[in-house]
Amino acid sequence: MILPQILATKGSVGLRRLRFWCAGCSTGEEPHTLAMFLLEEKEKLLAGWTWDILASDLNDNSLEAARAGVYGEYSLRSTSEKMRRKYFKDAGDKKLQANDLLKAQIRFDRVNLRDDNKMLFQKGMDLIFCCNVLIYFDLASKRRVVQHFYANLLPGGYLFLGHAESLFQVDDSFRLVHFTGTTAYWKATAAQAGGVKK
Amino acid sequence: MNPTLQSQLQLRIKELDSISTAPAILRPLLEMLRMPSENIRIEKIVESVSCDAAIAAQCLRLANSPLFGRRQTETVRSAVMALGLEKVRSILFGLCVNRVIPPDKWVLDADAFWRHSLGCALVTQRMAKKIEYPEPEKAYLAGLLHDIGFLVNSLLYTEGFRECLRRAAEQHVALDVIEEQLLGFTHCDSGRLLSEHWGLPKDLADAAGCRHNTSLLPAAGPLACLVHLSDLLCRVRYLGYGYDEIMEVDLGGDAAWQILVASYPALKNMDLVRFTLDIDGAMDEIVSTVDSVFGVKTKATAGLS
Repeated sequence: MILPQILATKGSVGLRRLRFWCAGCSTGEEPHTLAMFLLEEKEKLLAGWTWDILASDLNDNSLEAARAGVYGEYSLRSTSEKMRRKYFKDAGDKKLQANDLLKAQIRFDRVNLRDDNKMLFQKGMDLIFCCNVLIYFDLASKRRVVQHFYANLLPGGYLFLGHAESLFQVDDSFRLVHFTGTTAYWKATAAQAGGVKK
Repeated sequence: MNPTLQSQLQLRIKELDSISTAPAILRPLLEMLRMPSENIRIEKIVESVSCDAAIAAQCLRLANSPLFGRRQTETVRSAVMALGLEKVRSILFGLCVNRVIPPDKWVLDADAFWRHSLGCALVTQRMAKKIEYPEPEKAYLAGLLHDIGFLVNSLLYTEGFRECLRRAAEQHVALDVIEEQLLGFTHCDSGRLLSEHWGLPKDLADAAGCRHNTSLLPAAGPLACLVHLSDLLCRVRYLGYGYDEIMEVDLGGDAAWQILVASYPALKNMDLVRFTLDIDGAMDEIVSTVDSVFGVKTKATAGLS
């Protein structure tokens, strides 16, 4: 339900490109899932749109695994048979590997979220996912990273954190919004008021 | 709601007295709601309930549920001693309201309705305690009764209300939006009128009547604001009306939140993410309590039949 809203906002000013960032992507399950979702919408909701997915992590081993895109049954437990056939190929040993189409959707990069210089160059994001990463940061680092996220998001963009993560007493730039079954942090646009948004 | 429609609705609500199947103890309980709690005697409550074994049994099941501390009370009198007079009165009132509609007249899934009402009661009370609202028990009752307008709509406008629910579920939108379009009034409007007809205190009537019309909240006061926020929170945590409602809610930007923060600055110190997780934690208990008290099994699509 977020996507139609972002498409409406951006489409009205003629921008038909979306930018996503999975910050702290670990071994790449999240960006691959996102890429599958976007590809599935390519001819529907996203007809005429292009996108860019940045998947970053600090750990080189994790990034290497993410680039390889080889997953076992546990990682694929929520992936339907149809999606497996469409976006994966057999990698032996009961594992599947992301096919070239799926891999081509994602740009992997090593980003240290504490590196201010690198963080300054991730502008123009529509959605940032940073799940269960900030829990390892001290309060000051957490604040700094969240401020970078805020600066890097376009107005109207959303930051998604892990299930139990909260920015309470960390940062009040974002507005907490509740969707059915989940929460996100929203960078308000000047024109959008609070309350029930939809 | 236009004044003509309001007069018609007021007249029709009087019909409820003859067609509803409310238990006999509803009247004495309504009288007790109008009294200051210090004037209510345990004997009066025990005597009222003693003539309705089914209500007494449900009351004990609810009083002994984990939601209320998993006590082992065996009589209504001991439930009053353990939980307090006001809590038992609220429990009983909720049980009576449940019986206003005969089983075959429910348009909304009865199960979902009671989960939502009980969830809203608990969330309203928790939020009230967090901000040190002076009457947390009243907050519970306000949450429990906030949707009594559904009783009116189900009994008096059955087919129209059924169509509202069908369309709301089909479009995944809030029920009140469709009610306004099709009936010309919402369950909040009818809830307020039923509250007035029953002589409920004004703040309880406001809590039932102002929820989907935030322009009325400033005059209504904190109880209506608490219920409005709790209702939204429950609906985004799968304690809605039994259909998938697509919602995006900015609680901090909501008019009710702004009003409450002005009077209760402690609200600013509430971590809404944690509070939301608390609700999730209580959800299983709410579901199992409703199932055990009302003996209704989950019917995912029953509301749409």
